[in-house]
Amino acid sequence: MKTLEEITEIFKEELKDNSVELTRESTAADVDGWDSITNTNIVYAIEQKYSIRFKLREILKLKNVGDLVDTINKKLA
Amino acid sequence: MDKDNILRSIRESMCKYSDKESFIIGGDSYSYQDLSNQVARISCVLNGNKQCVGIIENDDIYTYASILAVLFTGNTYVILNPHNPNSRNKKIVESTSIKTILTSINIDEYTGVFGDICISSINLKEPESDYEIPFFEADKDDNAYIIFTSGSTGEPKGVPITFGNLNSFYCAYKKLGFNLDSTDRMLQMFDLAFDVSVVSTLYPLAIGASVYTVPLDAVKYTAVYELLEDEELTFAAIPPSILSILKPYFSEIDLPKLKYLILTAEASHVDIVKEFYPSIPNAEVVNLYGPSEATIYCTSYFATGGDIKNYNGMLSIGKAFSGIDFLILKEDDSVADVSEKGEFCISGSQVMRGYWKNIEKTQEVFIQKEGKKYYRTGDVCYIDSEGDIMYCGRKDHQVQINGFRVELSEIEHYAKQIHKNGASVVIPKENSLGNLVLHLFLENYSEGKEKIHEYLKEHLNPYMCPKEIHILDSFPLNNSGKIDRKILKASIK
Repeated sequence: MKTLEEITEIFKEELKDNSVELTRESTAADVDGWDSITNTNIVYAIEQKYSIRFKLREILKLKNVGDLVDTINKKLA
Repeated sequence: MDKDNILRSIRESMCKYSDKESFIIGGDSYSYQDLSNQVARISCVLNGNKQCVGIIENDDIYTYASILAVLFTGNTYVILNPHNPNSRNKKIVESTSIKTILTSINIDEYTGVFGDICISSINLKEPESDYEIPFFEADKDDNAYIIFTSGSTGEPKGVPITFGNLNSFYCAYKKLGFNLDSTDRMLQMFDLAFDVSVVSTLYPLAIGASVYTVPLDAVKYTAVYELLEDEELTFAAIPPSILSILKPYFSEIDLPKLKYLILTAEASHVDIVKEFYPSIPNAEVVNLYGPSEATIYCTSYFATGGDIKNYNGMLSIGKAFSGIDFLILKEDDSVADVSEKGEFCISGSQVMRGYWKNIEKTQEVFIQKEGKKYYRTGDVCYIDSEGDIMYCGRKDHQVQINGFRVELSEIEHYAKQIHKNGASVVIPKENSLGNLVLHLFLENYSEGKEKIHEYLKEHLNPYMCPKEIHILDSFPLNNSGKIDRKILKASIK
């Protein structure tokens, strides 16, 4: 199971900000620097790290960090 | 005459299509009746006319209704972006002598910033139905809106557009012959402080169509894609950078209902347009060009089929709008011949009179030629043998290296041959010895600097080859969705 902690590390790396704190309810609106551009980087970093591939539709459905963690785990299952 | 007035057309739509959807914002629909109720109510707050009114941008019906209310009462709207630093908004408010600010969001945040200015918060209460929609026939020389762009000195530079400019634009835009009517569903994804938002909002309303907006804070490319596909939008104007971001997913995108894809705000590249064709089988791709100073757009190129005119991969900007006169001026301000390059200069009733309270800057950008006043766009173009205008890049993207004139777009063009998964940008910067050095920035490039360096050496003169190559995961974009070259330049140590 991939956890919130692991995902938070990826966010810290991609947003170049060590103070990032995520909960399952966090969204782009709550996290400084999380926008269109960094979103593509975050998705790409996750795809590389876990050797998975997101579809555009799947990215769209992610409403918060909890959805992201669940989708990663589903793909790895 | 009424047909040539965009605000009159919008008022007609409000009466004729009262039950139809005017806006779809965050999934909520508002009929033309809802819209006119809001416009009427907000208009009551606005006393008098010919005044600048601030609107704090938010993605809701109140903000859009505020724009209409300001225009219908013959006032001038000025967008204040809540993401801008307060100091910048304050400068704008001071320079335009704004007395009233309309906002639908947390006013407490702003009361201190703007001192004694009357801030009208638009509350959510149901409007009473007996308000009349006002219609003050503004003088054609009165300002409809002022767009503030960043000036090179750090002071915001105001571009005032009059009701006359706006209506001239409207007449010329209609002549492009888009096959659109009240059944169409049209995208508005631009920041309201950027002028493409004006046509993306007002034109659909003028024909009774529906406007689908993208939230200010949204992850834009996913929000745009979601609207295009789920709401089966028929018309969309986007900056080409959105296509670049969506490129890895083109095979998943299918938009058979799209009739027109407008590319605007920055140069569009022929390769990415062609790659996107299969996703938009029934759409015409139109490249629309124009500086804010000449009211939104002033040239158009319809790129259909396989044969797309381009220069160094950048789409032609096509023919000038009806009513626009243009010249290509060479370095010595003499008029260029066919296929000779020079600065693209435009004249006509869409062109602003001058920058807001900035005579010096205004004098710099206008030139008297053949009895007319021409605006210097700062863009380098030439006219091809068929009369199409070919865009060659910004004038300030042309630099002298060792005495040779170098066009940065040419280097970028060759970089793109090797690097197809992201943007390539060349930035010139003086080194500590005062020599201009070319830096190549590559977005999301993984194949090693050596490979691209070798390729450029093969195709470019030695003085054109960038001395430094920088690789970034992604490029910073400015408010209008363009690659922010200033930030890239500042990142060079």
